[in-house]
Amino acid sequence: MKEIIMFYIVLFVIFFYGFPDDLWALQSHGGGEGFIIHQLAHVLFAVAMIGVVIIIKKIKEFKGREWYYFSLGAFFLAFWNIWAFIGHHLERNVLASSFITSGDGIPSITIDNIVTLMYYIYKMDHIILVPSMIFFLIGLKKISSDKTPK
Amino acid sequence: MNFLLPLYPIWAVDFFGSLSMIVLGTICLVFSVKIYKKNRNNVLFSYLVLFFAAILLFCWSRSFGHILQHIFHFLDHKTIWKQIEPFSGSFNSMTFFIIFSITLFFYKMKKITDKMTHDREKIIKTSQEVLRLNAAIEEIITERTKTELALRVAHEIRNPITIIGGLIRRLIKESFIENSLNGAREKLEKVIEKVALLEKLVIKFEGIREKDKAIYFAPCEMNQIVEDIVDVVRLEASEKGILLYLDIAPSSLDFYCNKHLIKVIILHVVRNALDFCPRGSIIEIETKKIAKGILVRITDNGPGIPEHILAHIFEPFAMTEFGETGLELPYIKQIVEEHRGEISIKSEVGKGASVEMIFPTHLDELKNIAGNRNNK
Repeated sequence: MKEIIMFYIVLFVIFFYGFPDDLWALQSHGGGEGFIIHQLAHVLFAVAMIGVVIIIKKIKEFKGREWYYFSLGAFFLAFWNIWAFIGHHLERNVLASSFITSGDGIPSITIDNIVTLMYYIYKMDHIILVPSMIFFLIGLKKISSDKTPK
Repeated sequence: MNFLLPLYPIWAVDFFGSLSMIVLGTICLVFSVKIYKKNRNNVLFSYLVLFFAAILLFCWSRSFGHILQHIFHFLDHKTIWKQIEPFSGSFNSMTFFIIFSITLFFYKMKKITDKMTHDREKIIKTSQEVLRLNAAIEEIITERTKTELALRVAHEIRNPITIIGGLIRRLIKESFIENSLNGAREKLEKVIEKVALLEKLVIKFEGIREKDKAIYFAPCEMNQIVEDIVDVVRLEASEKGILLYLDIAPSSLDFYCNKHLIKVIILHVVRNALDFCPRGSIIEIETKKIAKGILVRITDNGPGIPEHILAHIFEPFAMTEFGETGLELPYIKQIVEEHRGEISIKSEVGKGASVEMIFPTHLDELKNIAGNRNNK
């Protein structure tokens, strides 16, 4: 046992002191990572919700109106993730100069290309998100009122 | 394309949508907790409560962020929002990962619990079948023992009665009784009548018990019987780490038998092998058509049977150094013989044992019994 410990100590010393180089122990995390990680999170969230829809569709146990509404909720949530994923990409391509928020006029956005138009539509993502929660709620209410012993 | 669109619709949808998300997310969690409280051990209900807890975190982090954003913009404190924004966004991303992880975990848990439920149902079914067959063999043994005992007692009674009757008849034939006592002859003749009646009763009783002993036969298929038995013991074998190898004849093995009894005896032999074989053993069940009829061979590579036990294996309650041999194997032999079959056991210590049962396929006598039963 002692020999093994000694072997590792020698190996450690040789490796770290014998070959000095730049220190890369801590990787820096720039601003770009935040965007990528958020987009990846959207992808995984969408995958999870599509998975829920498939599980409900495939498994016999999940039959009935309550699970139909639940799967609708999951489907809308999956759709919202795709919507938001695209929305975040569009957001990066909209120029700050397109927004007119100062002055006496109504705050507005200049729609000068398809990207700004799509951005305008995609910004209203609650149109999808809120119905998904309503479907979940209807499903849950039905499950909750089910008197069948589980 | 160049026109202006107001930002108010976006703000309105965002603001009221965010508020709705907070309210709906909270109500959903309340309902999921209510459902969870119905059965705290239910995997699905546990998933629902975790899922909606994560959804609520998502709703809160996102919606409060959006609402704060609007408030700070309205109050012209955009720099404060710039400081809060990364935290709100990071927390939001984190909730997505949590939802994904919970859903993935639920999917795996569901698969495991479904398999457990399936196995549990199978165990219950198998246990019920085993219990039923055990009860059947016990019933058969009890009934047979009673019948054997009753026949033995009847036989023991009949013999002295016959002798007594014979002796009295001989006495009457002798003339000295006629002259010595008044009415003695009549009394003796009455005794003879009673003895004859008793003898008839015993014979009748024996006849009834013999009928009880008779078993009824019907057309059966041996491969099907063996497959049914393997279904019953498969789980037990798998739990004990014993490989069950089934080598059934390709053609149908039809014969006349009492299906229930045959099932009981083959199951008994297979379960004996399962009881004595260690983990990693192989039990092979083979069926095939041979010149003598249908062969069922159960072979294992277990510890085998010592020679001195093997010599007495079909004797009821024979004493060996390992204890009594029991009643099962003698009854198995009896049942096989009642089917006009043969049973033999070969074994070598350390190498395993092989039980062979041969059942004839063309038995007019058995068919007649079956025919009589069907006519009834």
